[in-house]
Amino acid sequence: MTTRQDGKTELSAQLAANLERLKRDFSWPQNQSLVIRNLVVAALKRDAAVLYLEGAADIEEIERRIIEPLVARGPSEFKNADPLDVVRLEIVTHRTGKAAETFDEINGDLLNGWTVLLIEGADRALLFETRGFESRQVPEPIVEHVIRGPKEAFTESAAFNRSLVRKYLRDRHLVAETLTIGDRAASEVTLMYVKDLADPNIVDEVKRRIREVRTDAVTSLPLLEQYIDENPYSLVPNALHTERPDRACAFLLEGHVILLMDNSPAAMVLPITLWSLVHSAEDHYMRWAYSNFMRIIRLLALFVAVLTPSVYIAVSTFHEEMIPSDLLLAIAATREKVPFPALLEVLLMEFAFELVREAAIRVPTVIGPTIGIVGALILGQAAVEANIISPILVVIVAITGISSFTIPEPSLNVTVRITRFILLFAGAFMGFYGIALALACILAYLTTYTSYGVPFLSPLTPHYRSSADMILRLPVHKERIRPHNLNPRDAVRRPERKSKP
Amino acid sequence: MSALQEEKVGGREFTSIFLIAVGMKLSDITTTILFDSGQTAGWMIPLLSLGFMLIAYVVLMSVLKRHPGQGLPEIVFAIGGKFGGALICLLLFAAALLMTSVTSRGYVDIINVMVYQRTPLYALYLMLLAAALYVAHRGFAAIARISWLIIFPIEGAIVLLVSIMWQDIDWLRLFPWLGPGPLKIVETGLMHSAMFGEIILATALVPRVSSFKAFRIGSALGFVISSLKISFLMAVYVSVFDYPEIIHIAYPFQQLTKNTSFGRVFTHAESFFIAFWLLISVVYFAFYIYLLAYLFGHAVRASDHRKLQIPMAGLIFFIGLVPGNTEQVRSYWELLMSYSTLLYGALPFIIWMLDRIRRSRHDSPQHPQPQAQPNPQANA
Repeated sequence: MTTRQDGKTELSAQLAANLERLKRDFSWPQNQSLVIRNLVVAALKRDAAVLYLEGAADIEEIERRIIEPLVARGPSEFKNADPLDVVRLEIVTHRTGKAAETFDEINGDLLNGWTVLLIEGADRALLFETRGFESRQVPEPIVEHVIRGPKEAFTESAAFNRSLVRKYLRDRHLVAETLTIGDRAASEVTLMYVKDLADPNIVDEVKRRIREVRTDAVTSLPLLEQYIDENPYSLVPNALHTERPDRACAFLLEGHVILLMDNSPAAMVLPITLWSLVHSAEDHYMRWAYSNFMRIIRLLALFVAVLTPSVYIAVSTFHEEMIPSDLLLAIAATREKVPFPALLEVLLMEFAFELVREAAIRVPTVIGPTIGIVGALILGQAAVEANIISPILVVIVAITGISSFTIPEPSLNVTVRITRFILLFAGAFMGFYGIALALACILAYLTTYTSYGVPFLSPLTPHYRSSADMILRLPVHKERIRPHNLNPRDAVRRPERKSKP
Repeated sequence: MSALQEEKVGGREFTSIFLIAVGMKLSDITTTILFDSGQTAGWMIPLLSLGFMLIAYVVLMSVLKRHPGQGLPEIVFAIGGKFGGALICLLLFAAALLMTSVTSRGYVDIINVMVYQRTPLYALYLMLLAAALYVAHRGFAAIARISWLIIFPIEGAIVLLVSIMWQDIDWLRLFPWLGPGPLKIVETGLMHSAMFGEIILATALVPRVSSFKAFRIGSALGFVISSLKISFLMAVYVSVFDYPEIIHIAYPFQQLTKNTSFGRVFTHAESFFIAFWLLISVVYFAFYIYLLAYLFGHAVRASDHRKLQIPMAGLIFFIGLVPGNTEQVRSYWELLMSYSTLLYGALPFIIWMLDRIRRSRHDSPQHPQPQAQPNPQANA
């Protein structure tokens, strides 16, 4: 193997050496995406190997057009002398075929779904275009809608999902490791990460926890999430599920690890921070100003969803002077006819709202709209007219409910809803004093909560270097470094440009 | 979890703890008491105290620098031996405990008087300490990270408060600007230096900070900015409320927030500021509970000082309930202030001297002088 002047490495004449080099490049056998099929070319009486990337290449085409002719064709007279030309021109029936001299070319083409044929004694390789990324019958995302951006979603097949990930991220360092869990019904978990980005400690930790799972069967990712969770009683989620391959790749490029399993139409992202939970898939597809506007709205919505009922109770029970006098009188006038204390009113309404939400999920789609109509009637008009609740409460609960719908991640959504009740009781008990004390405790918990060793609020607190993609984001050309809280092996996304071209 | 909580704290986080722990004094009875003797010149006292305390701080830092990676308790034990070390640690602990008790009682008094008149004092006190205990239990990292998270909103809220009150400020009310006379001001400043006692106490936490440089910068920065802030706010109090009145106002900060309004519609914004202030108070006392348990744990050589946090909170609670009323809180505070000023002022010099003696004895015959060693930084 010799290195040329332009830095590219040429192939050697030995099959074993070439294979060794390619295996190293693709981190084989850790990375089982690289498939190596050894065979003997009967016509030439030479050893050969066919290589392709699972998920990137069309396997059927490789079998029929490349492997079959190579193995089936017996020794006979050939017009060409060079074995490579013999194979390319006289044996293989594939529609394409070109020779490559350097590994760089081979690596690039492998990632794009080409198939490589290496022959003993030849210092060049043959490349066939067998691109076969799964791109048909890809469903659209159901939960993570976007207006702009790809509309492809994961399916229940892990191989299909791996192919989708590879389609978005054609990097030879993208490793797909397979682990087996379950004693009775073993199932396979694919661990994907970019080898020269992800922190090996995190990868090892995830692998260790998956290996430590001792149970009959783990059938899907949400179950696996709970098996490998370090704080199973915590209100805060420890992993994120995304059904979007583009989003999964964005996480991979930051140094996260993703898990894929058969029967789960999602990728599980580990480790996570609060920011990964509140960001939406679309945030980086929109222009800087637009996406920051959406983020501000969502941040406000998060605060509203957590705090509004408790602040209403605190203000109306303990700190009436805060409400403008006219509004105070108006509230007092409508509350005059309501026999219940404010806390009971809020609890009733919140309960009713949670009922509607739960019912809307459980009910068959056909009856869905009925729930909405009945719910709106019960929650809105009728309850007010029956003097069970005051009109201001309908406003409070409605705005809280709508705000909580803006939180993109379902786990965080439930966290927010439960936290709202904790703060509600704190506010009803001691007004702002209670809310402030409860918030201090919640902050103390959140700041020291970790997901696979990564602090939940990092890189904001504790402070780490990052591109500040947290509450707001920078324009993409300024997002130069990866967040350091994940301890990425390659910290820089994009070297700083010294001078303008 | 335990491995996490022993994690070191970065420079930014540590600086914000300092900004909170020292800066909180602008909102408690410290300012009230300073106005009593400082009158219109009350705002100078924090600056003078800062000056006095800086001397002690610099002396102590020179000792700390020679003992890399060691905090105050470790150094004290190394210098004073088992008995002397424990004695000094316990002295510091006692001073900090009494001060924390009286201060926290002052805070609970404020909450009781300003907002929750009908809630029993002990109930408010218990709730405050319970929350602080939980934060302290989550470790020094939790205190540091919350501080860094809320430091910018806090400073923003103070700026907002001052800018809302700007139209009510009449700077001429600061005159006569020397108040009771220069001698009296200097004396008061000196006697109340212990209000910045944190600067000495916090050196116990050097091993918990990522580097000595971060500690040095963080403490110095936090120290200076906080005292400037206190001084400025005290000037604002006088300029808003005027001189004779300021002495009769028990809690100038809370009184100031009571006067705030956002435009014509929201005429009362004080609960907004008070809620913020309460959140910070929890972090403030969490820091003290952590520090007290840390100091006491080192004094008695306890294996896990975090287990001592519950007894510490209990001690603070019971000692804090001793004063019968706010007036007594103030007189206890004054008394403590003068004694702990003595302790905090003298201790760095004693430690420095003992360190000098020990080194000269230790180094004399066999060992070469450490000063004789080439300084790597001088070459660079």
